[in-house]
Amino acid sequence: MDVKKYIESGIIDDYLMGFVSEQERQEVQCLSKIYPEINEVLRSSENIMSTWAADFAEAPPAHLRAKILDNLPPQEDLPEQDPTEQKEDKSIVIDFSEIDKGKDDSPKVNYWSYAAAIAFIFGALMVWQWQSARSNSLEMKDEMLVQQEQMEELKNNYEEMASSMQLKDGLLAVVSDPDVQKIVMGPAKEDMNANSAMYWNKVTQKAYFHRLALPAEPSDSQYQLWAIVDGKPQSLGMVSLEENVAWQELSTVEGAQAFAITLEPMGGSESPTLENMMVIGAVS
Amino acid sequence: MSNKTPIEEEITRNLLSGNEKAMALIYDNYSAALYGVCKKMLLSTEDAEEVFQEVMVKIWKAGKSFDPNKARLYTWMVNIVRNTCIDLMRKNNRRPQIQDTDNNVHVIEQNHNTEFPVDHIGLKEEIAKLRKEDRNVLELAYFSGYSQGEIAKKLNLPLGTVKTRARKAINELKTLLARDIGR
Repeated sequence: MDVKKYIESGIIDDYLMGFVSEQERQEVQCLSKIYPEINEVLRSSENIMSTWAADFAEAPPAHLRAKILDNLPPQEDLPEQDPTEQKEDKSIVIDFSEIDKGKDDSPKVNYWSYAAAIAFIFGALMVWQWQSARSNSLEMKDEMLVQQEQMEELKNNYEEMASSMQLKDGLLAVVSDPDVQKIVMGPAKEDMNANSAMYWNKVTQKAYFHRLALPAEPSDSQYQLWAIVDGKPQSLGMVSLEENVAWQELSTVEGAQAFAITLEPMGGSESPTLENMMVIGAVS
Repeated sequence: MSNKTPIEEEITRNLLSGNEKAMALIYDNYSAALYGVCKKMLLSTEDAEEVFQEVMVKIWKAGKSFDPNKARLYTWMVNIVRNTCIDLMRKNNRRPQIQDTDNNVHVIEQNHNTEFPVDHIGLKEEIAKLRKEDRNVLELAYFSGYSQGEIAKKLNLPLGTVKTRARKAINELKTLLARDIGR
């Protein structure tokens, strides 16, 4: 926004005179809170006007001094509204005497006049709502921006969920394939609390890893997956460090006799560090 | 908002700490200026007295929320006066008649204004330099709360002229009074 141009347009003086529309009034109040330059011009114009107002100084009657100072109420900590904020005149005057005119003196209830009163009040409310909706168009714009952001966030969430569903659907297809065998990998040492599973398709030779319950890796280490083929370990890659990755599709492995996981330095090792073996499971 | 007078600082300090001394100081230094605005806006002495008392209570009640970094004390108080007067005018659906400002008599009690941050004698001279037509529009808008359209109708002027005159008057005031502000 061109603040200089806005100030030079003279709108701040118009605001002080009350020569602005409701929308412009809100605009000046809002922009003066955002732009210090606008605020400064507004304050200095206000100072000019109040200084000018001093030209009309007139001493109040002498008796008021004691009357005011001796009767000060308790000071409030926080007033409900800053008494200097320019207020919008939203008051609606409903003249009930007009409505009551149709009423006769008998105690009989005149339903028509009640219906008319209700319709009138409803109508007045509708008009008021319509007017405030119009005058609050600036606020509405802001609200729309917020809602757009929320929509964007929801869209992102939805997309995340959809892709996670897609992955799970794919995995469901994998595990329900009759050619796929589940190899449970139990703790390598008795006192360990670790479990994982490997799903291996004997026909396609593809392996899928399910993390299940492995302790969190120390910061400089990573879990490495191994297949034991002909008695020798063959690396299947690293267990992902990303959060929420429970499933991993691995490279093809032929003739695996067993699967195991060891804890290795970040990035993995050429051959497994056997004393750091976490889980192992044999292909039946 | 720099260059606060010592009296403004003393009042602000007392007001923020909830010391009633603030109100006595406000009365002794600003009552004429504030009451003058009430009188100018409402014309009736009775209404002006009532609103002036209400304003003093409002200043006291809202005192703790006054932020000397955001507004000058005197301007803040004048704004309270104007809003309270406009509220009363709206409530009564009554506005002062257009007056020839030259016929208004202002009684300035110098004793009440010893520390007032504006030089009254200089001010009067400077304001007298304003064109009467321009000043009239400014007074109607600022003190009587008339809209641009109402002023145009009452003074039988085109709408644009009303705005031009008001802006001209403000700009002249700015030039004339700039040196008095913040003294």
